[in-house]
Amino acid sequence: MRISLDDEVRERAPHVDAAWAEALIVELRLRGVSGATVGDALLEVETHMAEQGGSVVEAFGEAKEYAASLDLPDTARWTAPQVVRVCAQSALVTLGIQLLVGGAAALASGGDARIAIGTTVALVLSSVVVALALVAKGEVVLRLAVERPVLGILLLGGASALVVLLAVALAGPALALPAVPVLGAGILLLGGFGALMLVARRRGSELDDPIRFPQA
Amino acid sequence: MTDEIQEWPAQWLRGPLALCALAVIAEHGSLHGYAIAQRLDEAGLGAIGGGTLYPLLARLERDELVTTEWLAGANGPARKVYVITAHGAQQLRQDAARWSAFATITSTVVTASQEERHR
Repeated sequence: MRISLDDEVRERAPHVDAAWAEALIVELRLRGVSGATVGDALLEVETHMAEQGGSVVEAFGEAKEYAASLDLPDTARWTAPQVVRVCAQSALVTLGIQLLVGGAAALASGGDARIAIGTTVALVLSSVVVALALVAKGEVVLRLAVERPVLGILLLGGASALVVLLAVALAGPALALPAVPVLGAGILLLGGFGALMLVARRRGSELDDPIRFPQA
Repeated sequence: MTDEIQEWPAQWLRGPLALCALAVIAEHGSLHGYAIAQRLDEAGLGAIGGGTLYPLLARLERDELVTTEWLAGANGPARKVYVITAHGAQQLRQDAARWSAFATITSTVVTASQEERHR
């Protein structure tokens, strides 16, 4: 059974203050440091504190500044296949949700599903743009969410409103399609996405890069 | 960064500290971070905090002057030990000779100014 990251950090780094450890992890992650290197850095602080004792802040200073001073390589960068995959996943989910909602609504009302091509294309493209923005400027977006959450929410709200406006403006003519196939296509796309995620997890090729602690 | 260098002004140590760390690693074959700090303290350089030591060791590793390996501790947690590389040993030889010359020059200059005053 997988244990949570907090529990694992407490278990592997019992001599490091939990809040300090979390701040170190967040800052290193924001700097694009890989999971293995983050685990390495934290465990080295742990071994030092286990021998020295006392306050981690006194020995290492503030976690954020310490993380910066290590100047670790930002190896957690996206490879081209990963970028393609994250864009495809994003498009797949957006289209799947659209078809699922449209099909279900049509089935409930007893009519055809009306799928506006312009809206669908706008939403799918927006989701791909958002995915690409996260890939290209993930550090900026994450730092905003962590350090200035209110501004982050406002910007997110603004971007969402822009997408909705775009989707409405580009709605155009709607295709009338039978409800059941549309619903089925939606389920298939979302199910396919879920299956791909499971396969990736089984193969250990998932897009996330979990913190890994070094083994002696 | 917390500066725990008590005995000597931080700016004095900033230059030679990496060289000193490299030297104690070379002297002992392999050492983990806390042991490096202890050896430096015992040598008279003062208490070097983790916030100063580990960024410096990370730089030595990045410059391929040392390699690292995690080893199981005898009675405690695993330790990351630092081992000097052939490139590091060569760099240490060069820098040790240059540092010695530099220290002699600075010492001569500083001492000469004091001797001049006492005449």
